[in-house]
Amino acid sequence: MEIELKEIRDFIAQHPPFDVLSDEVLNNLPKYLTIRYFRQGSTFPDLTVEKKSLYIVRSGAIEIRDQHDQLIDKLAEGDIYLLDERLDEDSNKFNGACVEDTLVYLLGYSDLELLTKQSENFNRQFNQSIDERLRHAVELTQSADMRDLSAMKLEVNALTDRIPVILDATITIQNAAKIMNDEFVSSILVTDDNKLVGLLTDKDIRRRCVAVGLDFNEPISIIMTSDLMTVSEKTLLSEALLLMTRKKINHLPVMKDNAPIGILTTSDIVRHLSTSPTLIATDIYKANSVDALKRISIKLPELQLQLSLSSATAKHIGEVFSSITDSITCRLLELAEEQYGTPPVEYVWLAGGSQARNEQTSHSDQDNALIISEQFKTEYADYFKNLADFVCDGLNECGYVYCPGDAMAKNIQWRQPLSKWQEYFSHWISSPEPKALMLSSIFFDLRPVYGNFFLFEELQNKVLKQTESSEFFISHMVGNALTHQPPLGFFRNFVMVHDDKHKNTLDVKHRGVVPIVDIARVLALDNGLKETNTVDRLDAALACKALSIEMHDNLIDALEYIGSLRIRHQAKQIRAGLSADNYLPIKELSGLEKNHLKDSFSIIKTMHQVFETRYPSSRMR
Amino acid sequence: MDLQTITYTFVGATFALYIGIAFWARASTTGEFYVAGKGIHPVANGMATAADWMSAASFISMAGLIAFNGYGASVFLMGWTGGYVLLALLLAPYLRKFGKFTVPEFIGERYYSRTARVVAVICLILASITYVIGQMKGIGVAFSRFLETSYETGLYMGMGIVFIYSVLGGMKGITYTQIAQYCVLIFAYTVPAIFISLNITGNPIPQLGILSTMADGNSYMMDKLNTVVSELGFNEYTTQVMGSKLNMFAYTLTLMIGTAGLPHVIIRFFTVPKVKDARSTAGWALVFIAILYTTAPAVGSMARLNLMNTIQTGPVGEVTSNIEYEKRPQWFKNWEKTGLLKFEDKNGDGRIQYYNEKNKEFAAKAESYGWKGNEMVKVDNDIMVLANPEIAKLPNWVIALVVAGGLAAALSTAAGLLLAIASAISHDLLKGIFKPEISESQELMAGRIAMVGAIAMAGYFGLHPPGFAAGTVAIAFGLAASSIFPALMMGIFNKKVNRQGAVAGMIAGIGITMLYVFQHKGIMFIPGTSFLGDMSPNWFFGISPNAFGCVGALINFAVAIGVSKVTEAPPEHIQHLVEDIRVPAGASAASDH
Amino acid sequence: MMLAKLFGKDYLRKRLLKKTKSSVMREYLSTPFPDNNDSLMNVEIVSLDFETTGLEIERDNVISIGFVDVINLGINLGTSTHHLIATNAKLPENSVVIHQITDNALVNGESIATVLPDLLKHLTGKVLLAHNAKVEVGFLNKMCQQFYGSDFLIPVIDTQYLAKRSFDRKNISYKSAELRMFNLRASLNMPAYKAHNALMDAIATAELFLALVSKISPKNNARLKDVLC
Repeated sequence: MEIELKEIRDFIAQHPPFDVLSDEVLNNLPKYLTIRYFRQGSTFPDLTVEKKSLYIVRSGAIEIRDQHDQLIDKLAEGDIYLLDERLDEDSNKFNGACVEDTLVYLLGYSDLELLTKQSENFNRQFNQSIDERLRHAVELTQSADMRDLSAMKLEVNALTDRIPVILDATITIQNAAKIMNDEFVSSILVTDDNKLVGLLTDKDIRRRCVAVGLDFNEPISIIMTSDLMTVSEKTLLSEALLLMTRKKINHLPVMKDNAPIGILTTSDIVRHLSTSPTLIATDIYKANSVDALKRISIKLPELQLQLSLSSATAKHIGEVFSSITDSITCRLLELAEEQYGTPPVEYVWLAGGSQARNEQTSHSDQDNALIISEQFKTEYADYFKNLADFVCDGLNECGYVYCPGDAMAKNIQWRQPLSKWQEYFSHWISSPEPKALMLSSIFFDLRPVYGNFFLFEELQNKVLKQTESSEFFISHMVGNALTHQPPLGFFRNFVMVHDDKHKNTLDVKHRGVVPIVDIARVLALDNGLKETNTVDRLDAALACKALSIEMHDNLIDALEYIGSLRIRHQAKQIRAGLSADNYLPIKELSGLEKNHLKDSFSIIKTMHQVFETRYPSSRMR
Repeated sequence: MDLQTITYTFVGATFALYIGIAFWARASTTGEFYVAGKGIHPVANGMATAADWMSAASFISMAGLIAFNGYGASVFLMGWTGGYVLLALLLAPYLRKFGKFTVPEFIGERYYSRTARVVAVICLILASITYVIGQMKGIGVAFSRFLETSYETGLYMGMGIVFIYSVLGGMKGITYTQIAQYCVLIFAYTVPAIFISLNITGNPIPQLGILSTMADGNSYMMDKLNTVVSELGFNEYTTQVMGSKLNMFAYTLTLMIGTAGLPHVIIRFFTVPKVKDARSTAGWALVFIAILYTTAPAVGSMARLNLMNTIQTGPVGEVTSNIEYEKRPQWFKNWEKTGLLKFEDKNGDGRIQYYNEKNKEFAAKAESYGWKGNEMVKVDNDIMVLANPEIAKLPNWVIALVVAGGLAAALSTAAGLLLAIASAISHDLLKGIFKPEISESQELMAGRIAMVGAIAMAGYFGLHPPGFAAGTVAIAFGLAASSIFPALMMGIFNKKVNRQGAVAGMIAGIGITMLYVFQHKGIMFIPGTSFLGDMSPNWFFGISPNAFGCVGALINFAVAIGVSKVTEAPPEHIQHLVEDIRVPAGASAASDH
Repeated sequence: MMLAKLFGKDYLRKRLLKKTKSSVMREYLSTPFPDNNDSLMNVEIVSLDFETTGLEIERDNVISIGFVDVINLGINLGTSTHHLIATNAKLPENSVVIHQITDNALVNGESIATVLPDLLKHLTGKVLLAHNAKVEVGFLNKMCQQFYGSDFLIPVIDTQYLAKRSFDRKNISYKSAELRMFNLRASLNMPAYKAHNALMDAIATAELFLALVSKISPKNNARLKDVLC
């Protein structure tokens, strides 16, 4: 029987998530399917027929729109769509429509569950819990950004500057590998009779030849990927990227008049998108004056816009911007040392706050500090004052405005020898007053940027030892973390910002991102973790069992989701020529997005409640 | 407006106030940068601490105890005040220095032992739940009167309210809610006291009124009270003691050291970030506590005087001096409905005779008056504060205010304790020891279940009370005194005590105290299961079960030190730790170099 | 055919039932056919395809049988069934090419005598769906006469007929090749199946049928009589 339905089986087996299933499961799978047909223009899914099913598009095309008629997904051959009645009303407000006659395979929910039980991998892809929905939503918003890319209306030929290596299908694997080596390429195109028949990548050689012990003298046609998808040179970069993400492929031959003119790879796209940060970094190291740095930093909002349009994750954007800030800081320090001479004793320049956590966006405030070696003498004070003033003023010029809390090396309080810093921290830990807690959100997120990093490590080791054993301090940190409540009311309603200027908006920074950052910081300090980045901290907390895997995943998803909405919002503002803020107007959100956002906030809320029970005194404020 | 409507209004308004404050406090998210120095003022914090400290027992029962036990009841005043001072001076600074302020954390760390920690958690949970029983009872009494239902119904209502307040509400623990509760509580306590003091002595300050002459100027109020009660065969008010002198002493000591371990009080000390502020908070809290505690004797004694005067309107012996049952005042009828006040017309004359039938001398005299026993079969101590304004014929709003005050006192304490219990069970026991792999949401759920369980248990014991509210609380203190206090003290002041000693000591201390309590009060307080009966002659050296905690503590000390002597000494770093916490903060920083 | 038009197939079924002696046929015929006014949603349809040695019913033989149920206007693959039929006849060259079945496979197949009763049982009370149904109906009729001495009878939906009818109704001229399944499917943007066997063809027919029905009644409210031959 399996043999007769092989065609259906093979079709399914090509498409994720089914590609992870074992042969045995795959062979049995067709028996569980029902085939349905949707005429062009008919609504999808047909809710009168079946409630809970997985749809696999066999042929045709379906567009899914939200209630604002905004296209949120487009399904084509091999795409799957899960209709789940457990999703609450909002999510079912999509109205899908078949834009072509469409043939779908349906997998009933009970059978799907059976499958998920059989295969761990498969299950991972199909977990319909709150976290999974979030992750999906992250993808949706990113592809939503992909669609109205005015800045990425680039055609793919712009990126395929290299003439592809084309080999005949009969050439041996070994020879092909040799040629690839010599040509420094990771992929080649394969032709038969001058007709493009396949694509061969490093990975193919690894997976289908070396790993299985295939003879190297076999022709490459055996191991090449033959079911090729191509794009024309006029295809928009955004479309190509969409196709590649959807099909989970990394290589896409680019055709001109039916002849291949290049291969577009994901790394090409990534390189293109990050060319600008790399370029900027190079420019920074070439800059010879504060003015030069200033001219470079003017480009930063545009870079943020670019990155956000290129569906970079919030985490990635944070890393890019923090590293740019690091570069500017280092360059400023070099310039300062040029101007004022070699430092009399060693020091280390520390980034604080979001820069330290690698979570900056374009033009955050500056938070920094300076630890000077114990050999410090009072006569050196002027040197370090000049140095700090130079750098902080320079940063300010470059758009990193002075810290409103004065947490900068410019302030003599934060430009001290190591022992003084140790005293500071001891004091904060033993008397966690509001001011100390405010500072702790800056100074417990410290990362050395320039100078002798050992000075910092010495401090960090001592500090973490103290925080780890001080329930008293941790409890106050928790209490402080609890002051940043997610904007979710008792009835799961959004609590909007009150003041007139930002009416009907959500402060996604202070009530979305900051709470998660705070949670991660508490976990890090409580367990003596050295990480500064929020995601890294959560990972480390998971590793030392201070956090369950469930909560770990949920928090990271929530952070990424809130972060992506924030970045999308800021991109919109930058494009409109406004300065970016963190007030997300509620009307910019679709019903589905609102729901996901609420899910994210309720994850924070749960974690807050857990903290409250663990540290009952934390809420006594 | 009738009394019930006013009461509804008052209780409703105060609740709305608490919820409103909680809402406001939650909603106002602080910005990124605090205005430096902004924090909670020590005075405000002192009030909040006082609200935490003063439970239903302080508010409802203490004056009742004083009313009926006179001078003897002063053990509560002395014990609780002393306990607070002990905690503020002797324990809190060291615990704070150590960085641990949940007692199990401290004990677990200091005795480098999970077993010690588990034992501490269990001791704490036992003591806390017993303490919650007292709160439940108080709420039950207040509700039964206010809804004019039986005590049981009132208690069920109370459980519901506490459940909502603690499990669902986000208002527990917030300082400003606590301050509001303190204000309601102290206002409710002092206003009726002032009125009554004015009525009886003409002095508006109750603390002075109790020492001054009657309004008619003929005699001192205390003398008058002594006369009135002794005429009816009761002990003279100012000389009455509880059991022996030794028992009084033991009782006071137990109350004092018992308070040291109670989690909801210790926690308050650590909400203040600066040592200096912590000190002044403790001071202010003492002032605010004292306002109530010093009023209590006046409230108690004046209530007793009013009660006696209501029933015995003229010279003892004259038929017309005893009030006719049919003409009994409204408050009498109201409290009869709750079952906390009972009259039985033993001689069938339709009049109420209230006297001490156990006093043989006076009983004989009573016989000659044609009295056939004390007809006030039940006068629950706990009704005194609540009934006081009614007896004194104060306006309805004062009565309503007192109900609201009683609820405030009970709620603030119950919520704090339940929070501590939930934390101990879900975090310390479940996540910390037994099932470390549970997820955060499960931990949360466990905490909530623990709270519900604690409320249910407290409710059960509230229905089958092991004594009046303060008595129940006294036992809680006894349990804490015998287990936790010694472990804490030795943890701080004796570096030689090791884990075996601490565990053995705690088990011995709490074990013997519980055994003593159970053998006199019934196993798990179930009536009829006591094998020795709650009678003074069976008491060990005449020490009542409520006062036995300090004996348990002595045994704890002895066992712990003894066991530590014969087992190996604690590791070096622990001994250093103990030495370190006793050195002042500055000195230790200096010794780092 | 005339009688069927006049009295309806169910009348013919009852008449045939009276005449038939074979127990297999009696059982098959004793269940009423679906009512012509039934909604298509509620009718159980069996899409059936035979692969044969040729198209001359008298001389040729069935070499494989494939079928799948269409229920609720969905193709339920769980019901898909495929039988290879053992035959002694030598396969003509061109047939083998089409069906990719070798003689050897056919020798190892099942006997038609065992497959036929199961097939009839499956068809009981249902509607037969085929592309160019006269082949399938013709072979079934021949086999029934051969084994049970009875005519075969069933309500039939023919996708070729439906396609032809829609061309006719729209007054579109067409070549006969356009009525072949492959071309029809292509014109409706349906995927081309590479494999050629009775079951895949039955499935392809069923898909084609769903597509045609959706053209006839966009709201899926067609009745059986709208699509019957």
